[in-house]
Amino acid sequence: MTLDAKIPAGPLAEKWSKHKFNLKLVNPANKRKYDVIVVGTGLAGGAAAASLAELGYNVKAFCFQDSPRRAHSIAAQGGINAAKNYQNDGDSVYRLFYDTIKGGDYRAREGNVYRLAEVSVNIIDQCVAQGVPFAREYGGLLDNRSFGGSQVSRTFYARGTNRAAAFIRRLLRIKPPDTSWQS
Amino acid sequence: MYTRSEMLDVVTVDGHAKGIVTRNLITGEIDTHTGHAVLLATGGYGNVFYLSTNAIGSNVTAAWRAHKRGAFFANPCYTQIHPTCIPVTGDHQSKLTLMSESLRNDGRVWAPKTVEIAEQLRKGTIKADQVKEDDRDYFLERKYPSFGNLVPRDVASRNAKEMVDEGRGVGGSGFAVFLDFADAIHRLGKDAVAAKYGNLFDMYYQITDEDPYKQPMRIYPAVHYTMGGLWVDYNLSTNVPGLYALGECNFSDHGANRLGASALMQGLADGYFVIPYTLGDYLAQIGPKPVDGKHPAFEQTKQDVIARINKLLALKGTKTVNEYHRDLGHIMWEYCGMARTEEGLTKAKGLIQALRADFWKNALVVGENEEVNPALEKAGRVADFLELGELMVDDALMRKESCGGHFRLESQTPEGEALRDDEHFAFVAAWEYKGDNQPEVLNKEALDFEFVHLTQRSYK
Ligand SMILES: Cc1cc2nc3c(=O)[nH]c(=O)nc-3n(C[C@H](O)[C@H](O)[C@H](O)COP(=O)(O)OP(=O)(O)OC[C@H]3O[C@@H](n4cnc5c(N)ncnc54)[C@H](O)[C@@H]3O)c2cc1C
Ligand SMILES: Cc1cc2nc3c(=O)[nH]c(=O)nc-3n(C[C@H](O)[C@H](O)[C@H](O)COP(=O)(O)OP(=O)(O)OC[C@H]3O[C@@H](n4cnc5c(N)ncnc54)[C@H](O)[C@@H]3O)c2cc1C
Repeated sequence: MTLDAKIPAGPLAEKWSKHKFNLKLVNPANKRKYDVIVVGTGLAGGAAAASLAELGYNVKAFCFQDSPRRAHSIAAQGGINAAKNYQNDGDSVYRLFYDTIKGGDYRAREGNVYRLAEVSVNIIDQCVAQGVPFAREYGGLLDNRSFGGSQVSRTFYARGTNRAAAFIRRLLRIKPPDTSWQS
Repeated sequence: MYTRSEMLDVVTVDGHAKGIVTRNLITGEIDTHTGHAVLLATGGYGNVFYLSTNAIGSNVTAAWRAHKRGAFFANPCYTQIHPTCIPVTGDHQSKLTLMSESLRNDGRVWAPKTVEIAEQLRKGTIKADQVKEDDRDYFLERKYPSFGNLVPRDVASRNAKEMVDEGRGVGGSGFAVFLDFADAIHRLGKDAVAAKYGNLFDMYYQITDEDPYKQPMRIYPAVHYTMGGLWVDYNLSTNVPGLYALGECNFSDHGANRLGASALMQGLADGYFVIPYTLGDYLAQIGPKPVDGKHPAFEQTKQDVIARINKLLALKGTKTVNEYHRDLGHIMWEYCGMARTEEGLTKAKGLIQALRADFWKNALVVGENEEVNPALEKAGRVADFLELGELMVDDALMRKESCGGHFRLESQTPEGEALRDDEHFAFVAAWEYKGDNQPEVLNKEALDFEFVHLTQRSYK
């Protein structure tokens, strides 16, 4: 069987925008007629459930713990990468893409990894908008540190153990207007 | 929001995912749920190794049941072994603790230069701070001058193992190297170091009863993350229409090794910025007609789940499920861990098959379905790990090259680095389930590199 990864053709930097443009849309009035099951409410599932519910879909979310806040994601302690180049140390979407492809020893898809680097920039804004207490420098700018496999500082983090937990909790606290989420 | 609900199967109708079957972990009730699409964001499978940094409850069940319903499982052998964890202390342990990689910003990794000094350290006749500068080998800085202590995780882990294999490991067990902050404290002051890493130092102190401001930390690699997972296309769709996988549970973006702080990035990217677009495309095509929960596929899948639970509850042997899990973990760590060989993997395959057969004869699963029953929950998860473990070994056997976290001893550069074989292995391995105890079929998705030039990874 041949597997079709459906990677859009064209230059790397344009693949995702073009693809988004070509995707079909669901009429806003119809969204509530769709049930979407989300199994898992760690960061990935939590983010999906919240966004889809906000769009108007009827989301049914499941987890095996007694609360989404107990997902494994809460253990994360290092932080999140993003190609913001706040440190002015030469970071860029392309560099994050390149580091990730190389770090993965050239066994990941170019198209996917580029998209990841591209949207990484939005993630931090999204988190800040939701009140994630990222560490800041004295002047108030978000602080960064380095992680393995990279020569730039692009990791956003929260200070202190409690902060790390608060960070995840913030993200999982988002209560979309839809009531099915709370059922 | 359905909490304390474990998904135990996916319902497919005419090849499309249309719902799930869950078990209520408090009452034991088995329910079916309908949906126009099913998204799995159920995390990674590192706990197949028994000891890992993952939460105790993390498991592969959701992804594995989806696999058995047709979803391909990609690159199962790609496992990340994190270099900076608190070393194992004994057999009683059920979990390992990660010391954040950010510590490698300021901590320096070293082992004693000679076996003799290592011996003294292991016996406790000398302490780390008594080892003279000249007798220390800052092996990452020595071997990788440009990245130094910040080489990727797989490289750092393998080098620590190498030290231990040479007899230069420290700590009571000899399975550890040092992560030393003396320089940073000297350079920046204790307060500055405490401001950056105080929480981690406190955690280390609480667990080991050693003060990392005074003595270097002891660290050793531990299983941390799994790059493999359900195969998905660019839209995060598995090959089963309507079934999507997000976060650590898919295989998508990290290749054979994930960089630090990229898991959250990927999980949030999938959830916030990708799926809201791509899911709409599918939903618009299938239309909003309600899903018929009365379709026989729902009842049939529910009966399959109940039959499996009954089969587990009928196991009244002598060995606890936890013991099977630990045995499996030993096999995986020994033969499918940081260094893999054809011979070891072949042996592991036999051992896992035997262990699995034994499980279905001699395991002990106490209690009933209609109650909170952790033994039953664990039995279902371990049964799945016993199948996944074999597939990981198959995948590792098939991939004769080394790449990232997958290190085949037969394939290394003269300097001992992972040696890829791009000509034969530049593909994603997507495995297709063919029935109980049947060999899985390998499907290959070729990886085309249009923009980056493939090179031997070097962090020197
Ligand atoms: C100690 C530690 C520190 C880490 N630090 C970082 C870091 O600093 N930065 C970083 O980027 N990454 C880090 N990682 C990795 C990262 O935390 C994980 O990869 C990530 O949290 C996975 O998120 P997820 O949403 O995919 O899954 P998870 O958070 O594992 O969530 C899985 C969810 O699925 C549910 N679930 C699973 N199976 C079922 C089922 N059968 N039925 C119902 N529900 C089910 C669970 O209840 C849970 O809600 C760290 C990992 C560990 C262990
Ligand atoms: C702030 C914070 C920071 C952390 N940082 C790190 C870190 O840096 N590195 C690291 O390795 N780990 C870290 N951890 C720990 C890590 O988060 C946990 O290992 C993980 O969250 C989950 O562990 P668990 O599955 O063992 O148990 P828990 O999350 O404690 O879950 C236990 C579950 O079992 C249920 N339960 C308990 N008893 C019963 C019973 N009798 N009957 C029925 N149900 C029961 C509980 O309700 C709960 O759902 C951190 C934790 C926190 C809170």
